[in-house]
This record gives sequence, C-alpha cells and structure tokens, in this order.
Amino acid sequence: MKRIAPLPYLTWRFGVNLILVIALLVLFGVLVWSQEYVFALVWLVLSVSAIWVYGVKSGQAYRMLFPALALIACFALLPLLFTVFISTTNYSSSHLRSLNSTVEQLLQRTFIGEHRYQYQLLVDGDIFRLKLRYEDRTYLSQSFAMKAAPSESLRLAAGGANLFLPEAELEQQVLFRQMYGDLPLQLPSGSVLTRIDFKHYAQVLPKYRLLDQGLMLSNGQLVNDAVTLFDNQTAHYLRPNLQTGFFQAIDGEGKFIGPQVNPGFVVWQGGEQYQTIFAQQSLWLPLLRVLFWTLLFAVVSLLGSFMLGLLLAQLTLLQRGWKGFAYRLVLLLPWAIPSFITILSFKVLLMPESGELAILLNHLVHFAPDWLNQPSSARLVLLGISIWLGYPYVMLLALACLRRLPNDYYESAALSGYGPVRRFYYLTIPLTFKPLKPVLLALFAFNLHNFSLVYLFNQGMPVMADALPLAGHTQLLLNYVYSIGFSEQQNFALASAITTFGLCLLGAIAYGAWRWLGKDPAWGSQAYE
Amino acid sequence: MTLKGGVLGLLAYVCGLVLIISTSFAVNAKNPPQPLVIWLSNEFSVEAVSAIAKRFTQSSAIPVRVESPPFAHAKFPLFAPNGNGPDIFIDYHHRLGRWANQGLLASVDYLPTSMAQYVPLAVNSLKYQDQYYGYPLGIEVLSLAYNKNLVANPPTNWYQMQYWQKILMRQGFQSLVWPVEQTFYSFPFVAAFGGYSFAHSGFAFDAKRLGLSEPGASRGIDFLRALIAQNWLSLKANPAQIMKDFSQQQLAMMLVLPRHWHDLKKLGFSVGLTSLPSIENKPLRSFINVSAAYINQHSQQQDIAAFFIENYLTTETGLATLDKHVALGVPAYIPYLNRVASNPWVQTSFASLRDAQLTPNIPEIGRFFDVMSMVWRQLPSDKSSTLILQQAQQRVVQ
Repeated sequence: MKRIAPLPYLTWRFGVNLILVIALLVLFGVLVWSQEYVFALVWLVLSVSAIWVYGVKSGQAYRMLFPALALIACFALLPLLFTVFISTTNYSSSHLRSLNSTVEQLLQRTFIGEHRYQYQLLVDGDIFRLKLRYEDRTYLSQSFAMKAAPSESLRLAAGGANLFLPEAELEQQVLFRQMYGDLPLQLPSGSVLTRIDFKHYAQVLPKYRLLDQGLMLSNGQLVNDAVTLFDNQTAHYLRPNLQTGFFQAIDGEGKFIGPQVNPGFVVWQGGEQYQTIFAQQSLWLPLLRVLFWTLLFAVVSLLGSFMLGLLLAQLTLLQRGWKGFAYRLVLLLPWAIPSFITILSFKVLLMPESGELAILLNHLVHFAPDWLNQPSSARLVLLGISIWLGYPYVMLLALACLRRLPNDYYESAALSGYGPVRRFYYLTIPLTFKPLKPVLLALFAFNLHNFSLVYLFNQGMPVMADALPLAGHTQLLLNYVYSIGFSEQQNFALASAITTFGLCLLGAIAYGAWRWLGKDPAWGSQAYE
Repeated sequence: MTLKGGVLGLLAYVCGLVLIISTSFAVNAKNPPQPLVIWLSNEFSVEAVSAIAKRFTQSSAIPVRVESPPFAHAKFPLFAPNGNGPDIFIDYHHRLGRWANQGLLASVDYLPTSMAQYVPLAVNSLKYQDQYYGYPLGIEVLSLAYNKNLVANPPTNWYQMQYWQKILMRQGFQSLVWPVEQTFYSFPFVAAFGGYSFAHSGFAFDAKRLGLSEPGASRGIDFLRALIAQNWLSLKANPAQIMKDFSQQQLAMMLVLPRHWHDLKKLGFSVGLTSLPSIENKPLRSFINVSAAYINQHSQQQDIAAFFIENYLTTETGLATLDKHVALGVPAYIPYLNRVASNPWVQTSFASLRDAQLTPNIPEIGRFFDVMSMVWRQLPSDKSSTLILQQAQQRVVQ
C-alpha cells in the first residue's frame, strides 16, 4: 500500500502544539499586561517545561515526577520566596502599595473648593427642579421627571430666588442621588460643580497633578519624572522619600521637608528588618525563646505520642478477642473527634477553679495547672493535649506494624531471660521505629507548626513581660509571626523576616537532629538494614 | 498514548485557566441602591443602632445592615481598602490616629454651626493632624459605684476608703476591687501621682514625650504594690468575677464605665455613683474615652453615611435610643445633653471630667497600652517601681 507522506505542518500533533503555544503566549501576555510579572514568569516556566516533559522525547523521563515538582514549586517554593522577598521591604499596613499605584491613588485625591452651593430639590407633583443658592445668588435647573434614566444633564440658569415649592422627601432625594448624583453640573459662569452631600454642590478639584514641564531645583538639577507631584492646594512639590516610604514636600534644593503624606508605599530596604531584629533585645530574646519552645514542643510531643501510642498498642495486643478490640476502639476515640472540639473542650475542662478536670485534679493530687498565669503550667498542658491528639495515629500504625513482627523474636528473647520491659525496649521500639519513621517525620513537621492548637487553646498566653511586639510564653513560631503580622501593627515585613530567620534556624536544627537520630545504632536504620 | 493524554490534559488545563482569567475580567455593572453597612465594636448595642436604622430605612428606602463582627478592629483595616468594609464604624476615639494614618477614615468638615452643637472636648478628641474625623456620640469616664446597703456615705479620699476596707473586712465583705491588669483601671493610680501617657499641648499629643518617668509616677506603682501586699488586690481579679461579687453584695464598691450603668440599676438593690476618691489630696485621674461614628474613606456612599449620622444618629431621638440600650455617659451632642443633664449619674460623670485626662488618639497609643499591660504583670516582681516605668518608657519611645 502506498502512503502519501503528509505535509509536516498539517499533522494533528502540529495543530495541537500550535494552539497550545498560542494559548500559552496569550495567557502570558494577559498576565504581563495586568502587571503580574511573577505569575507570568511562573506560568511561562511551568508551561514550557510541561510541553518539554509531555511533548518531547528527551523529557519523558520526568513525566511522573513533573506534577509533584510543579506543585512544590507553586505552593511551597513560591510562597517561601515571596516571604523572603517581603522581608527585604517595608510592607506593612501603612505601606501597602507600590510607588506607581500610590501615585495613581494620590492623583485621584480631590479637595473641595471654597464655595459651597446649597441645593434644594423642589417638587411639584411628578416634576422636580433643582435650586442652588450661594450667598445671594440663586440658580434654577430645568424641570425634570425622575422616571427613567436621565436623558440629559441638568442645565442651570440664574434666577429662581422667588420660586417657593415644597422640598422633596428623603426617598426622592435618594433617587435623585442615584440618577443625577454622579453627573457634573455647570454654572452659567462655566465652572463645574459636583454633588458632595445631601445639601451641597461644590467645585471638586484634583489635589495633585503630575509635573508637565519639570521642576528646576536651586542646584541646577532638573526634576522631571512621573513620581513628582504638585499639590494644587498648598502649592508644594512632593517627591517620594525612598528612605521612609512616604511622599513628602521638598524645598528648593530637593530636600524633604514637611509632613509625610499617607498612605506610604513599598520600598526595598534590604536587610533593615533583620537589623531591627538583632538590634532590639525586645525582639530577638522573645524570638529565641519562641524558637526554643517550638522545637521543644515538637520533640516532646513527638516522643510522647510515639511512646504512648506504641505502649498502648502493645498493651491492647496482649488482650485477645473482642476485649482487645474494645480497648483499641476506646483508645482511638480521641482521633475520631475533630481536634478543635477536643482543644476547646480541654480549655473549658481545665479552666482553673471552675473547670471540672481542674477541680478533679485539685481533689486528687491537690494541684491543678494554673495555665492562665504560669508559663510552665501552660506549656505542660499544651504538651499534654498535643500528645493526646497525636498518640492514636501512632497507635493505629504501630498496631499494623506489631502484628507483622515475627513471634519467634519474642519467644527467643523470652527464652534468653528477657522480661517484658526489656523486650519492649530492645525489640518492639527498634523494630517499629524504622517503619514508622516517615510517619514520625510527618508528625514532627506537623507539631512544628501546630498553630491551631495554641491559637485555640490560649493564644500563646501568658504574655512575656519584656517582649515588644507582644509575644506569649507558649506561642509557637507560627503563632508569634501571626500575631505580629495580623495584630494591631500589621507589620508584614517584620513578620516575614522573623519567619525567614526562624525557619532557617529551625530547619538546620531539625535536619541535624534527624541525621543524629539516623546514626543511633540501637534505634536507627543502620542496625537493621 | 501517554503523550496524547498529556497533551489533551494540558489543553484542558489551559482552557480552564483562560476561562478563570476571562471571568475575573468581567465588568461589574453599576448596582441599584446598596445597603448602608454599619459596624459596631462590641461595646455597643446592635439593637439600638438597628432601631435607629429602621427609622432611616422607612423614610429613605435604603436598607441598612448593622453588624458587630468578631475582631472588628483587626478586620476593618484589612477589609476597608478592598471595598468590603462598612460605611460607618462606631468605636472609641483612641484608634483614630492609626486609622487616619492608614487613610481609612473620611475627614469631616464641620460647619461652625454644627460644631457648636457638640461638647468641645468631644469634638476635639476626634482631631488628628488638624483634621476632624468622625462624629462624637458620648464621653466616658470611670466613676465609683457603691452598694448603698453596705456603704452609707461613699469615700471621697483614700483615708475613708481604708476606713471602709477595715469595716467591711470585719463584716466579711470586700471593699473595692478592680481588674489590676487592665491599664484603663490601673493607670489612674499612676496618674494621680503625676504620671501621664503622652505630653500634649491643647489637643495635639507628642509621641516622643512620655510621662512615665515623671517624679511621682513610680509612687503610683508603689501604691498598687502595697495594696497587693496587703492582699487587698489580686492580679487574678477579672471583670466578670468583680461584677458577680458586686451583684451578690459581696463587694461593696467597684470602678464602672457608663456601659455598666443599666446593669447596675437592674441589680435589685440601691447603687450610688460618685467621683473617684482622691489620694493625698490628688484626684485619681481616669482616662476619657469618646465614642464616635466614623465614615470609611473607601465607602462609595459617604454622603449617605454622613446624612444618616447627622440626621438620624446624632440627634435627640437617635441618642435617646442609644442611651436606652447602653448608657452613653455624658452625651456629646449638647441638645441631648441638656435633656439628660438632670440625671445625677450624668452629673457625676460630667464633674469627673475635670480631673480625668483624655486618651491620646495618636497611633503610638496602641504601643503604650501594649507596654503598660506588661507593667502590671511585673507588679509582684522584685524590680524597683522606677525601673519598671523607666523600661516601659524606653520601650514605647524606641
């Protein structure tokens, strides 16, 4: 059979590829046009690499890995890079926008001229007239009905001083506002008025304008850029002060004088936020304490839930039949209840002096943790709840693991005279530790940023006496950063810097600890590999 | 096979993205009358403002939504710039400076005639950097409430207070307790000995000049420490417990704000209200808080908001409705103040204003309150009082 070779550019695949590339470029263009440069770049890189992986033979090796890599890049790497970037700016509630967008915002500012014209909406049946008064001058509009959308704007003519008609009801005034409120009004003299409230029209003038010819400073320098503004009201020139991130009036030599104009804009500040952290003891001391507690919390709740889960799993396995099953069911219950209900229940139960659990503890051991005021008690309680929430998970996995352990080990250990405690320590822990290691790693990572536990339980209280911005003794790094970023101050840049610094430190320590754990001959991987 | 599937999948992905982006570019049509949204901070009564709003809706046909969202103070700066904030925010005046700095509040151009209708102190408390923001509603100041069954004649100075403490202790009652950890209640004692928050000239406050290291200020801390050492006061005292003790007639006296007045009248026994006692002939100096209605700078209906406030809220009827649900203290609107001037509790509050000091409205006041809340926690420590205040002052200024 004879086949005619198709033209290379008319194949099905070529068509699809062409459409894909066009779509890619269009989307890229849209993103660039809407000034989302970062997203445009990410989109370009992702889509080009996707085409390479799925369309070109040399890239096919990565076709299973690509989705994971793409997700990591989008949802882990990108936010991380953003955080690092924000930490080098002054991004905060008073510096929210870029310089250009602040200029745009300022150019939209207006001020109200001196003369305010009082207006009245006069009504005569269905017909309305607008009457304006300023000192002894009065103006009257043509008659109009407010049935359909306005077909023409209102024209004013002098006169009407002797026209007395009832004023419109509020409902009609609201209707007038809706229909004519946005339309400018022209006086016979030519000046244009805008409605400013329910009583007045006035001249509304732009507060700032861009320079049209440039500004000659006294030192001979010519300033002519798109960020120098002229204040129409005070007749000052304004320029952005890149040190402070605010617009300020300048004098003849270009020096910044006068008050800062709000709002500020975002400027790049390099390592200034980091300098602030290290320069202020009220910042770095609490930060170190928070980091220490975060690490302690993660480690202790990991070890606690591991040991408790394993122990309980082992114990319930001793009881065969339905009894063992019932025990396991009860012990797994904490896992079945949504964690935030558990946390809030514990909060109520442990409330000093009024909580049921606190009262019980007081009767039994004459001690109830005063976690509202004592840092150590609060930490202890938090660790307890964290272990309570964490052990059922470990227990479930340990159960599966323990069932598969060969019985011979235990028998031979028992024959060699090893008691149950030593069997547990020398056999059960090492044999289950390795298969559970990935789970434990996940649990450790989870506890490092167990934000909701602390936030729901006590919001990090009690407060450290020497910290500013406020920090709590039981705050994890994430809670601390959250309270800086979203408290009254809303200093996002500082919060980002602390996050970056804290994550680096925590990451290093956690990595080191994990390496060290891996090398331990009794528990680690090498012994049983 | 996989190649084809991959290409098709990618195509679907691209189409989806294009769809999402194109819909987000869709133009919003201009809406028919939007509701006027009012947020209240949680000290105010939604019911009262709703009742006023109902009258407004009846005559204007504009629907009004009155809400008191949780974390309103934190939400307002985040929501307002995106157009999701309220048109009107009712709150106390001390957050004014920060919000004005962030460009969240619309300034009010008072006409001389309308300004003359408000108590000057109230309207000046809303002045920041030569601009007025918002309309004042009520002026609040601490007073001393006492149970007339337990205290025959209320103490006017601390000697008499100590006398009552002795008498009442003997009978098994408590005399006066307040939540020590709250700056609003405890700072008057530091202020009595000469401390102050920020220096001011007229109604303009200076963020760089604090009054915590004034000569007498540390004696105020000593004074509180002595009370703690005598077991008169406890750091654990919280407002709910204090109110409970007072209502069960276990506690004879408490420091109250106008928003507690209605509760005090419902207690079933006779409660009197008087000015704060003096210490060593110097009066306790309470903070003055002014409640106010602000207009959101980002609101599309600032004119309607202003109309509502001027003609429905700050009127005799409007304020009477507010006052009925939660007492305003000294009303800031003079015609209504004249109407309630015969109320002895309003008179007490009005008289207390002379010795009280206005809470500064500059942005730094947030930092000041943060730092002061740590000062009270250090009362039981063995740091010297001077050092505590000195460190606090440094932290605010740094």
